Order: sequence, then structure tokens, then C-alpha cells
Amino acid sequence: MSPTRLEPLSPEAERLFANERQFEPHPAELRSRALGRARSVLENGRAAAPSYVWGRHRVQLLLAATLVLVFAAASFAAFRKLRTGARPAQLGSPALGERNGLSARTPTVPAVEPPAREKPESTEPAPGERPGTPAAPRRPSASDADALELGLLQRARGALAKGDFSAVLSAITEHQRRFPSGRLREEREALRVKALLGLGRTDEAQRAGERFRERFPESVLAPRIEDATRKAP
Amino acid sequence: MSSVDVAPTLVSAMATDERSCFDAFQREFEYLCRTLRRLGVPAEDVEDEVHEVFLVLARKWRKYDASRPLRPYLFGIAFRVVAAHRRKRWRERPSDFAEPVDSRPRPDEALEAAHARGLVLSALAHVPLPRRAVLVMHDIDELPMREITGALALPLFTGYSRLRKARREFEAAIKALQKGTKEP
Repeated sequence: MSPTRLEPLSPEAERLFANERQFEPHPAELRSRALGRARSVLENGRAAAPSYVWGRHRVQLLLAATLVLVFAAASFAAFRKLRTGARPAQLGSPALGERNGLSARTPTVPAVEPPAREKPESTEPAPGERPGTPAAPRRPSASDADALELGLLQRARGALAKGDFSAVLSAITEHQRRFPSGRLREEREALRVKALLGLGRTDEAQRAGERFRERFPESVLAPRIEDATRKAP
Repeated sequence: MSSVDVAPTLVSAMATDERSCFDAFQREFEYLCRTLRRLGVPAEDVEDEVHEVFLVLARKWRKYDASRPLRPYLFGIAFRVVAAHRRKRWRERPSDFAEPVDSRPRPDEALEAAHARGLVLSALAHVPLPRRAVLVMHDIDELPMREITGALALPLFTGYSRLRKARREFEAAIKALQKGTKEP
């Protein structure tokens, strides 16, 4: 028998499939909500997409980054000079000391830390940026960032489906850390309310629900959030 | 038609790519919802799942070859979204997704059609997802096998063998459900 040859379907299966092809449409309300959510993502995406921000505000970003670097370098140099002046008898350069495993005993390492800690606070965090890599991180493409962002929220939704509300909160916390202004922030905040409700943290859920309504008053998810928090004991 | 469909300010404000993606999603929305239901998504989860399909579509839209038919492409995305969602569950429980079949006598054709639909969805729930996808695309959406195997990234012969097996499983499930037994 040819591998591409098929036996005909039974008359009963034919009848059922023919009926299935003439399905009834889904409620208009569902369509309206789903299209509203899609629209919201596109609108948020335009506002938060890294490539868009980079393209539109390139000069301002470069200027800000340069100023931050100059300030950090000047602070570091001044601090180092001050420390060197206080301990003139120290042998070898700080860099050599670090290479030789002496960094724990030399006072130069703490001097480097403050600018490194300040850097993420002084610049807009790029979506998908790896934590703890202050020196020239690879800038992820918009597509990478989208995939990462989506992956995090998929993880949260998967956990919600399993009733693992702690895992939901963990995933959305990570999302918030990496994508504070991500295109899916509205979805994230809605998931937060559901997770808090699931954990029985009703007061926090109510507050999160209020914040959601303030931040996204036009959201198509708002009625569902309202409904869920109202039903909470 | 809802107010969302005709919001002119929104549509004009979107970039061309985004607009074409949104238009395609809007145009095929019903198809996507039907497909998700046939792939076993419970009615109450369709909204979230279709949104997830949209997110993937929006991300991949620039890679979509507009000369190819859209529906198999959308089906491929929907299939992967559903499969990923299932992998996150502890275990697959077909009964979770089965449409309840009411065996009481039906007063009119509309209810008869709804009953038949429930029967189809219940029987589909007994066909494993990879084979169910081929069955739905071929026997319900009536897509050619080459499009199906292209969308699901399968060899042609694998597509046919999955379809043959899925048909057998579907027919066995229908018989069992009509007899009133729980497991086919």
C-alpha cells in the first residue's frame, strides 16, 4: 500500500466533521476583549521597544551614558587618589594586587564597588540585560527581549494553571526586575492580582488590584480583575 | 462587529507591520478560537491562549512569508502554544478538556448540532496532541497534507501515518462515547 494512500472516513465521522466545520462563532464579548488585549500589547510595545527608544533618542542616550561614565571615572579617580594618599607605602598597583589574589586585603576593591552599584540605577535598564555584567553588555535585539519577556510570563501562566501561586509571583518578580516597562507589564500586573488571591493574601491582592486600575484604567483586563477582587473573601 | 475592530485612530497609529499583523489576527480570530478548542483548550482558557498566540505571531510576523497561506502558519503557532502549555502541566488528563456529552434526547437541530460538536471535541481529546493536530488540519480544516507537514515541520510520510492512526483513534473514541463508556 502506498504510504500516502488513505482509507475513506466512516460516514459517521464524515457527518461529525461536516457539522464541526459549521461551528458557531465565539461570543462578540470574547472577540472584543481579545482584540483589545492585542491592541494594548502593540501600543505598549511601541512605547517600550528598545529599538524604538534607541532609534528615537539616540543622541540623548549617548550623552547621558557619556556623562555617567565621566562622572563614575572622576569619582573613582578622586577616591583612589585619596586612598593612595592615606597609604603611600602600599606596594604594586591595585590591578596587580587583584590578579595576585590580594584583592581581599587591599582597600581598592571597595572603592570600585560604589560606581558599579550605581550604574544600573542611573541608566534605563535594557530589556534582557544580564545582571552583574556592568562592562559593556551585549545589547539584545528586540526579538530576543520579546522572547525572553514572553517566556517569563508563560512560566507564570503555567504556574498559575497548576495552582502554584508562589511560582507565579517568582516569575513575575523576575519579569518586573528585567522588564520594568516591558510590553507585557499589564499582563504581569493582572497575574500578580490572581496569584495573591490564590495565596489568600487578599489585602495585598486588593491593593494590587487598585494599583492595576490606576495604572491601566482602560485595560480590557480591568473588569476581570475587578470581578476577581470583589469575589475575594 | 465590536468597537475594537473599527478603532480608526488605533489602526492609523500602528506601524505597517503591526497593522498587518493585527489585521491578520482580527481576520482569523474565529479560526484561531476554533482551532484552540479542537486542540483541547477549555472554553474558559481560550481568551488567554489566543492572546498567547497573538504574542508569538506579533514577534514572528516579520519572518512570515506572505506568499504562503496564513491558516497553516497560524495553526502551527497555535499547536506549539498548546503543546508548550501542556508540557507545563503535571500530567495530561484528557477528561479535563473533554466537552461534556449530553445523551438526553434533543428537541431541535441546533441542539443536535451542539451535541455533535461536543461529541467531536470529546473524541478529539482522546487522540494524542501531535496526531490530533494532523487530523484537525486535514479532516476538518481540509488543508492539503503538504501544507500540514510544512506547518508542523514533519516529513510527508509521517504526516500520513499520523493521520491514519489518528482517524482510527477518533473513530474508536466516537464509538465508545456513543455507547456511553468512559474510555474508548
